[in-house]
Amino acid sequence: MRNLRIIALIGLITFGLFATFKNGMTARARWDQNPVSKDSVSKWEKRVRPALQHVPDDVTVFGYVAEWDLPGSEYNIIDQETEYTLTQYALAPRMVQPGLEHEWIIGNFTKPGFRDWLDKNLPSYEIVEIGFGIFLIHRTSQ
Amino acid sequence: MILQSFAIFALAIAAGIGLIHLLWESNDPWALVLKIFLGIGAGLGITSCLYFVRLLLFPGQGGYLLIQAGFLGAVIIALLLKNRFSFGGAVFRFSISPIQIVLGLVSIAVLLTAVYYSITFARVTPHGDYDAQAIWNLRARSIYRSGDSWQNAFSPLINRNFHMDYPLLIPLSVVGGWNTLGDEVLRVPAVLSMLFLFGMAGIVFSAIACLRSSSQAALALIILLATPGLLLFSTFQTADIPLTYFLIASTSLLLLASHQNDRRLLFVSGLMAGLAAWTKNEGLPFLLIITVGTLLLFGFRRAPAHLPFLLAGTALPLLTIALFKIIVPANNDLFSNNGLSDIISKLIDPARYIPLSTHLLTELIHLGDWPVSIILILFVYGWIMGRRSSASPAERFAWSIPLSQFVIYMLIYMITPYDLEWHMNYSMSRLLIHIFPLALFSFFLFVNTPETVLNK
Repeated sequence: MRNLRIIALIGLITFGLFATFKNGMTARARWDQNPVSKDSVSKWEKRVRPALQHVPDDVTVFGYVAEWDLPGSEYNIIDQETEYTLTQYALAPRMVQPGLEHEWIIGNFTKPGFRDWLDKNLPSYEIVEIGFGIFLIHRTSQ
Repeated sequence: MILQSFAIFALAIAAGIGLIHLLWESNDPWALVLKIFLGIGAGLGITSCLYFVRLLLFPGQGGYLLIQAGFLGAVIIALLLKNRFSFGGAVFRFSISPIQIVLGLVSIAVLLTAVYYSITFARVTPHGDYDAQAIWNLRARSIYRSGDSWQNAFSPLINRNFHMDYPLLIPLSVVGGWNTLGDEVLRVPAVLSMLFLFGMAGIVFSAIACLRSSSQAALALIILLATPGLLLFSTFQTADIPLTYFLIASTSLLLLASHQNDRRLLFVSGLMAGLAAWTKNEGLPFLLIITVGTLLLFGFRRAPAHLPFLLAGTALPLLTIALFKIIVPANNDLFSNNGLSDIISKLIDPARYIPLSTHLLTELIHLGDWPVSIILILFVYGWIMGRRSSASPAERFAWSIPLSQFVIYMLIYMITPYDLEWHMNYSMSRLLIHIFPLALFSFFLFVNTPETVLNK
């Protein structure tokens, strides 16, 4: 029994070392000299934050529309949720609410056809293309 | 920037260590080591409570460093008054057995790999994982960027996906760090994650060393820090690993309080349980578990002499939580659209138990993302090594705490207003990681140590 227990002890230590080796290899594979330029969240911030240059400083709430609003549009719900969350994260402390109810609206569209939908749903608006599929929509009174 | 981000919490951690040393008189070498790791959470947690009160009372957001300094100053004065700067009676023995050398070297290798892993992920994912961007770091950003109007970070206009009701120990520590550094330094939340990960590992190690042996403690440390899933979660910059830290801190202190019959340790255990609730809502049921656990462990007859110490320890965090709930009266998403009749009908619906059991089984097999089921490995190891026959009632009782937390988590899944499959996919692996270090701690208290086996 003593020998079996020694084997068990060596086995557990070896198992821990094996997992540690794998953890080390995982980290090594992820190591990057210039990581921020490749980080998806930092990239998203760079896409969205320029929209703030086109709005007055006192704007605290934005609307948000994206592919998920377009009837019949095909989209990946996880991607859409993530992009909405990242937009809120990038623009904090300003609030970002899904929908067209606010004066200033962030549009996130990669496919054509969204302008027809905007024309149908907004009586009057101006739109600025920020780039990378990001648009700033300003509801205007007619 | 990583070292600078560590440095901004140094005073709070020093104050926490001093506070634990003030309240726990043991000068046993392993107890002194344990005090250092307990001090991390106590210092950061108390500072965050005080910082929240400061935000409520005064305009602006400065003063985080001043609060740390004041806290440390008060602790130093108390230590001087109590003459607790001497470590008389501390006996350091340097006889090391071959098994201790082997386990020590393996532990160092595992620890260094975990440090390398944490630093790598802090660099490549500086904003953490999705939940950090949706909840924890978002809250910190919103508060920090709002300046005097920080309460706007809890506006009811904010989408409820971002969980306004989640408590603030982690976001406020980040905000305090940013205010001290004068900028939104991305390394601050990453450094907090590292402090809590290695603090938790340190508690598991030194508490087992206190209660059993250093070899057994090293084995627990190796398995804990080799767990791929735990390391990965610690890089997410969410409140899960800090919560786990406070769960293990409170539980180990409860056992030590029983072991040493020291009611002041119950006070610290209560403090840690309260800070768990100030870290994440899952800490609230834990607070109940630790209270009932104290009642059962010390017995109902002795409860009037012991329970007040535990409850006194919870006072500061609970007061802070109460103030927070007054300021942010947001409902919890699990209960806001979930009436009593809905809950009962879900609880008695057998159709919900089947997917829960199936999913749970899969998660348990893959617990911690080990290449082979760690539960199976530990079961076989424990069976071969045998269980300790002379375990104290407190050590035997240790199992019931992770088990109770586990049962509560499963009940939450039973009554969840969300789609059950979605909810389990989204969170079950994370919730099981909350319990894993506690279960590991209980396991290594339960089985025979390497010394017992090798000396036979």
